[in-house]
Amino acid sequence: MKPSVIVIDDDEDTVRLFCEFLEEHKIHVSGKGFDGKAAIQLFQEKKPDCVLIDIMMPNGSGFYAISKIKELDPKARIIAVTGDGRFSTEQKLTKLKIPIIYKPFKMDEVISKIQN
Amino acid sequence: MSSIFKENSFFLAWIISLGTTLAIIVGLYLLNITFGIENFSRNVSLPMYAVIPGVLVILSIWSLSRSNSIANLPKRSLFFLTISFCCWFVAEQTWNLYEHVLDIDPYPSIADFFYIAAPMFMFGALLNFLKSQEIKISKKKIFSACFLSVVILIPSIYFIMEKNTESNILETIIALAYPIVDSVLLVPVIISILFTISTKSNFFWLMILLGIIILIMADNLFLFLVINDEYVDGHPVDILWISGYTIWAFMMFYSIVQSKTHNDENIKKIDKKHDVKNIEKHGVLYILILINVTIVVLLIQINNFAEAQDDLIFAYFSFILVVIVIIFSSMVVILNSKLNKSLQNKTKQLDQTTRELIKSERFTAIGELASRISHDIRNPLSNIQMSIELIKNCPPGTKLESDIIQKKIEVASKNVERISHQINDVLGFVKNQKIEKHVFRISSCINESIEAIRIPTKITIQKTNLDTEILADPFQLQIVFNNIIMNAIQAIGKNKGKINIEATENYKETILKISNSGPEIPDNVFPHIFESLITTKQVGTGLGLISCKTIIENHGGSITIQKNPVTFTLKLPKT
Repeated sequence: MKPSVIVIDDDEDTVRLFCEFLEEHKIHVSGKGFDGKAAIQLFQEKKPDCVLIDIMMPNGSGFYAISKIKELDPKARIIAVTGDGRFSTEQKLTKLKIPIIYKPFKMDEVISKIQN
Repeated sequence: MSSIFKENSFFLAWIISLGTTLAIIVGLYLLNITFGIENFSRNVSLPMYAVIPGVLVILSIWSLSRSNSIANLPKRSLFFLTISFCCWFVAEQTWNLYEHVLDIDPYPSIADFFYIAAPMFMFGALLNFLKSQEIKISKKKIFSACFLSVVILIPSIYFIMEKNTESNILETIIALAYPIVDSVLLVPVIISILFTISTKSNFFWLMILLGIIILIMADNLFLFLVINDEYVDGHPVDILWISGYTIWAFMMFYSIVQSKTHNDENIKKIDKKHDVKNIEKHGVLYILILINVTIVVLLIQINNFAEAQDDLIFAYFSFILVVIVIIFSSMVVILNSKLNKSLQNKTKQLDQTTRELIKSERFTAIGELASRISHDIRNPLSNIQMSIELIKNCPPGTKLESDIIQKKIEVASKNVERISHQINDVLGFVKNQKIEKHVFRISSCINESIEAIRIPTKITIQKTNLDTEILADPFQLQIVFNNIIMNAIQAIGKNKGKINIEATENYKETILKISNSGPEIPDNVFPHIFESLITTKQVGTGLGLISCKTIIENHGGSITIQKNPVTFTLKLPKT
């Protein structure tokens, strides 16, 4: 069965291209969102296998969404996909045990992280 | 031009006033001998012996306080000079106190102690001067100086021993001490004279030496006179002493004035920051001079009043008071100069700390800015990357599959990677990460680096002994490997090349050598290779190697570079 994911990023181009890419690699994108709040809502609605989420976003940051999703389902699989290279961000995500993929990413890396 | 003229006219005035003073002194004594001036010792010679050495002491303390700016005059040497002047001053005053106030024969007395101590300090001053000039004194010179002074010493000793048979032991010892101390002083004097004459450079020391010779002459003459009981108060031999003191005092004044002009230039150029310091320094000095002058004026008044009542005890106490005041004043001056020095040091430290702080602040700011910009670049970059990959993967038979497009896409893809590498480079430098050390095999880390970087097919990588284990932060070490391997690849360029990675270990550290067959690093760049913003490449940020250095040093290790072939040596401690 195809794994299903939701993609959340404030950059519309990124979301569109990312989804196209994932579909091409046989990953089902069940939902797209552009801010933290949308992420929480989509997670509740779609119950995806994995959440691919940006960190720096308006209207509810990635961190806000991650903590809410973890509240809803502590076992939820979340991968942070971000261009934010600050050490503090990296530290926070490591504490939350969220794997990070830095933009610009290699697609193989994303696929292998989702499938694991 | 005007300053040279000013200097010349000052020198002329200085010479004339020195000559006039000496002439007045000699004239007064000659007048006394020929006509007999009434109360000569009380009205002329006594005040002269108090004022001239007093002025000398004040001037030398003054110059000590500004010794930092006096050229050709080492501070320690000046310090000894000042002490020896103080000794002479005290000796003269005690001598006069015994002779004229207490009416006791001053020979032998405590005054002799100071008379003997003064040349010793002068000896110290001269030694320090000679040491500071860093000249090589030949043994021949030392020997001839010693010989000369012994030749002068022998007749004096012979004379004393012959004449002094009846006096007690103490008197004989003191009488002998004078010529011995003088002849010891004569040795560096002769050497210094030879030196200053040959270099023709040191006017100050030449005059000081002249003074010393005059004083030595005076001492010897005095000894003969005293032993023959021919010495009386106001004897012309006094001229020698008083002229010696006068020459010194004028010389001290000259050096102070010279230091002022010398200093003015310096202050204007360099020391504007420390204006406050100079005001404080001068303020204390002016107040000291004011206090001293007030005390002297008051004492003269009191003594006049006391003289009317013929009470010598006043004079005695005022003398003691003057000595105490002089001692305390010099302590204050020395302490003040010390404090000033420490203030200067502290200011320097503060400046440095501030600079470092600003630097680190700037780094933090750069870090913030860099992460912001990199975030903003990474998003569109990631979109470009994805678009490229989508084009690359497009199904066969479509228009996008044509060779030309695929080639261009390859170039675009390479350049995206280049931008992304540079962003990581900058962040690697500004990120102040915590190190999390683990033990792992070097090969695992190296292999990841090699996978991350596309190694051109013309370059082979030879790995030796990479199963060695290392204690480090794998992620950070990878940044180091990435940078060094990337540099090597860029250095080799399009040619065929080889990169050697070799690990060795000893009991305390793991050593990694990464060398490449690329061209040599230019000589002008080589010493600065680990400084920030140094790059020989068009595409570099100049931050790669400095990040490597920072990372390795944070691990407690070291990174060095050698030539022929270009080899980076990384040493990481095992514990």
